[in-house]
Amino acid sequence: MAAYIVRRFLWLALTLLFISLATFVLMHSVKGGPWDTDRAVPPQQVENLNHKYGLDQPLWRQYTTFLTNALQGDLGLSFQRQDKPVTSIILDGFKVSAVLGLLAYTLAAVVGVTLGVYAALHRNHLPDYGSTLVATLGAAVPAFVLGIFLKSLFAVELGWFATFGWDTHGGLVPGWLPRLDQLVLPVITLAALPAAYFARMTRASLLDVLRQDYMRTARAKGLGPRAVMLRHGLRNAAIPVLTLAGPILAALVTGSFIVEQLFEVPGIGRAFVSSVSDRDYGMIMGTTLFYAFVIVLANLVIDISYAYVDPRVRYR
Amino acid sequence: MTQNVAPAQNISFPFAQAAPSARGYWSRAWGRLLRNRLAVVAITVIALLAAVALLAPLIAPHDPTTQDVLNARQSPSLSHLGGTDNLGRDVMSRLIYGARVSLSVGVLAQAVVLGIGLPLGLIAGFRGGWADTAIMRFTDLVYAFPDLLFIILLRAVLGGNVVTLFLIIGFVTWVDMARLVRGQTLSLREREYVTAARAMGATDREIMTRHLLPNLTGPLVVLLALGVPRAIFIEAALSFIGFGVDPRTPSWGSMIQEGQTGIVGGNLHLVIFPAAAIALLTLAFTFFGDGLRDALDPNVDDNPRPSLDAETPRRGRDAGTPQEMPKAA
Amino acid sequence: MEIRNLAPVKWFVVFLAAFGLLLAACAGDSTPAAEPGGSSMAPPDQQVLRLRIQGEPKTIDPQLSNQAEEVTLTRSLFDGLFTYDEKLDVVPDLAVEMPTIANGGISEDGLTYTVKINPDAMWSDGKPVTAQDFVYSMKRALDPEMAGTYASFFYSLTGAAAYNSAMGTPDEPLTPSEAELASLREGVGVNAKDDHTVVYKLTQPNPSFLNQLALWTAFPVRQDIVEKFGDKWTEAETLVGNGPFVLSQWTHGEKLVLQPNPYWFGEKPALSRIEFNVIADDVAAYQAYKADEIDVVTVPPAAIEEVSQTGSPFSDQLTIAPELATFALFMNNNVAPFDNVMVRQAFGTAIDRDGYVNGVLAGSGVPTTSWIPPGMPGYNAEIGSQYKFDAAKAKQLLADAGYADGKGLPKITFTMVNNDTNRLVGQFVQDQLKQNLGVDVGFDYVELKEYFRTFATGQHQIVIQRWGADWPYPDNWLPDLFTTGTPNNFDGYSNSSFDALMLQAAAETDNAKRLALYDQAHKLMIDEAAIVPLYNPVTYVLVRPDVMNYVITGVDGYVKGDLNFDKVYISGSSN
Repeated sequence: MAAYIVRRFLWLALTLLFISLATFVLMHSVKGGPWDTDRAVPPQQVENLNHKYGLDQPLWRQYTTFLTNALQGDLGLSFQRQDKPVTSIILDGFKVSAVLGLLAYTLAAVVGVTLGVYAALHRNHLPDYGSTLVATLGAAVPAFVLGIFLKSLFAVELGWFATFGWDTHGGLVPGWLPRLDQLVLPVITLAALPAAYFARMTRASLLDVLRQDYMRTARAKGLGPRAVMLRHGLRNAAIPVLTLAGPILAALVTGSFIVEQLFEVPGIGRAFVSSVSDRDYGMIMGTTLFYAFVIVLANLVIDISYAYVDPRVRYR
Repeated sequence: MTQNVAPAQNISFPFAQAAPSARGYWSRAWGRLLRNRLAVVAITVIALLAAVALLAPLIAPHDPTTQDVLNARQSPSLSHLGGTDNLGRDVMSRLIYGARVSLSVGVLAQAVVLGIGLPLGLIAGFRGGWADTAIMRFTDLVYAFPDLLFIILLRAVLGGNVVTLFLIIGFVTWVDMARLVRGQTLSLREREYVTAARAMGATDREIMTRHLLPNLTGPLVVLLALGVPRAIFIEAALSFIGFGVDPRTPSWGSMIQEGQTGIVGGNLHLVIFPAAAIALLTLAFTFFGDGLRDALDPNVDDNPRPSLDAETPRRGRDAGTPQEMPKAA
Repeated sequence: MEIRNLAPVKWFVVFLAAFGLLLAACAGDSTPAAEPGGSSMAPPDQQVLRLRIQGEPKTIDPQLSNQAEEVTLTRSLFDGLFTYDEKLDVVPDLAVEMPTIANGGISEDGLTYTVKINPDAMWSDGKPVTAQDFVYSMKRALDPEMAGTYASFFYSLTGAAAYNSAMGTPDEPLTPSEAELASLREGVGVNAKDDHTVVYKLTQPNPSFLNQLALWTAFPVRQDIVEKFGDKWTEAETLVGNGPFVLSQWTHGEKLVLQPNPYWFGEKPALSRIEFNVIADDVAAYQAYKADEIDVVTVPPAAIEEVSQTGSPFSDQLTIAPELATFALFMNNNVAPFDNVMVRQAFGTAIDRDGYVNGVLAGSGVPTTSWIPPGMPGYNAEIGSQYKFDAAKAKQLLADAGYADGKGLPKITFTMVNNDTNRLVGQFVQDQLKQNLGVDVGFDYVELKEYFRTFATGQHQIVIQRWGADWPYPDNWLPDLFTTGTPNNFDGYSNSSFDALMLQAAAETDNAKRLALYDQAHKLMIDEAAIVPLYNPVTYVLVRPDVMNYVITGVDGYVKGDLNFDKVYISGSSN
């Protein structure tokens, strides 16, 4: 087991290295650079800017400098956020995206699992069809369409919620949570698809478990239906749900830039998209590595915990 | 991004199980599918949408590209059932032609997914060892790769047409197919008929094509069916941020994107129609995929024994692997 | 039920009272907008102006700001020697008076400018503004290590170009030593004669020099603050400015908050807070305005109809603000088929500007055929009238050029930035050219930076591009763009008569004569269709009715009205 973990961490490092190289190459292959603007930029201006940000070095030297600095935790400077260190921009953005993602995840898990259990227990009756329909609809509408409609109806027309912003300054929990009226719509929009996902998954998994022989054995032994459900049913049904939970969490937490764009949430997703179009090399390298790190780490953690939870899984 | 749910479910295969009836596997599956009312409705809807896409020039009330800028953003009326868009073009006609783009992007992307995922998964699962590790780590890389940069670059090189779009989407989503195929192959290769075939001197290639492939078809097809709406979602999301098909080609995704700027003037019809179309297609393929899975899953009992406990549910139309979450959502 | 029990008299009194209140409320609403001190002022805690900026400002350091939203913020936080009035004339700000030859502010040969600073001007920490601050900031603007993008605007100062070019170019980089840089810095022609007098020395007469000093890049900064805090000096905790407002909060990516500067030398602003909220999407901003979350917004094209029709609740909040800018067809004079004058003229006559502006852009522009926009000296509506939309004429021109019905034309591709509006514009123009000229053109929608690289280096074939005024005078619109070989000559236009006119105009000191020369050149360039203008953009701005004294000018930065936030106040009448 330990050897496996070590090996996977080594792979993590290698993956990051490869991705950093690929990103660096891709970044410098797309047309247009950070200084391009609608006026001609005088060559001495270009040189001044290049000198300021180290872009006058040969490409390979720029890459190695980046790597050495990155290993010490310094991801460079952002060109477009005048000289703010990329690390601090990413951490600021991540804080926002993570909070949003966690809230959405919690909402999705609670609503989704409840719906799924409810549907499974009333299988083939009206509640089942109702819940399944709601869940499937949640998966049929793209997040941004849902967001557009929610915003137009509840924020603009009815005015119940804010149309934009994530002001943690005077929020529910200063520095962490924004105002309630800014929270609600982005969280719901982001939670819709995962909730549908969880609902269907829970239902299927629970139904599968419910028909297993060991459930009937437990009942035959004399355990009440409630205990059977709790002790054996839910626990076993949780396994496949947990498998999904990891990647979903990783995805949510690294920021959905579409929801962030719709509701003007200053998260890391939005920052990444704008850094690509600004050709902000520092930000691009930093955010890509950060994303890759989170995703690979999340997969790794899930794989490892899976081994603990499901004794049937063997590792080479 | 999200891993395929396959790991916990080991779908066992027909040759290892005594068939309770004399009919063939496929015809039984087909029968089950047809008895599933929801799936039948779904198939009909898909067929209808495909027909609409094919017959677009005949059905569309107006030319989808004719502009009438001074009559832009009209609400639905008798002459324009879906109203007009930002340039005065007929929404309904664009919706109909848009079916072509959305359907072709969705379906063709699956061809790419199949073309890359199937061979890689087969090799990884069958050969095992070194090849397997290499391919699996490669998929890790693709997962963690910065899609956006890759998409921009590909688009810059290949242009913004339908071909580029489905290529891009295929490149970005094949990993789940590969994982699924690998998982299935891993369990399949231990079957007796594979050992038997090998003992008879069959080459790896023959085993893969003659024995494994047919048994993979079931889960494969299901994943492909669920992949179509996923691809369309990605196309819509890409259009929303401006990296979709070139504007002249009507696609549902770009219609939503153009329409959402018009929503402020109360022009909801600009978004509702394409969104409903996408939702309809998604629902149809989802239910079709579900129905397919149920039909092909031999664990379904056609002749259920009477149950000991009236509360214990029998398995039937209940398995529901949800569709993948698009990475860019 | 109870009403039946009330005596009719009581009921009548209640009705009268209600009616009276209603009348009073309506009367409060009809106060005209720009009445200084006329209507009652809201209490201080309601004197809050909520604005929108499109993106997080990359920097608000005056010597580094170059984006429109940065300019808006810089203008409220800092004051320079000069500024603009509503008529776009340069007027003194921190300067005591306009320097002229008569009062000795400008030397006879036009090479020395002496400007006196108002001794009451203060920084937000109470220290007085001195001439040394202006000297420091000008040198800082030219410092090659700062790499400020507006440095080249001040090259008319002696030693400026040499200092700023000390690092060389990408092709021939130089590595000057610290000592060399220091001595080049010394050599820049700006000095403090005493604590309140700045002297500028030019290499040649520059009638627009005062215009350039009105740019935010010339605003002063405090050397001790900058040196103490380095790059972080513009954060809310450390920024020291001399403008009407100070930065009290900056939540990155989210909002900035300004509050009045207690030491400002002008009349204390009525506003107690200005909030700049970052809202990237135009539609989202408009929705925020409708939801009463911001007080000023530019209306996106799709909503213009809704807003401007009579009876709309917003129609009395609407101001239509012209911009000092022009959109034109830029056709590369050195790339086929646009190397042929007649082809350029044909294309310029083939687009229905009315349909473009009133249809696609929903009225956010005014069609034009001349280059210099209205509201500026040098505007001449007559120029270019031969390019008014005329499909038959366009077809004829194309035929005369040898491409009857578009046959024989090489592939033509427009390059455009990939955004919502441009996608609509592109489809419209494609349609127009097909219908009116019979030509099939392609559109390449590319990313912003890629577009800039292509266009600014003259590698495009044909684009639709905007040029906005840096300062309101024709010398910002003609010499830099159309003289042979200049960097901003994107289309590669070359005409020796034009070049000669530019030289003459630069040396001419009489304003009327200068303008006449520019007019001549303007006509020449347009007749040769170096570019063909399409329209002047116009912004539809909504301002909430209780916001008073909101004055919009043509040189505003991102947020319209940003020159005069110190005069804005919120009126007390509720709406």
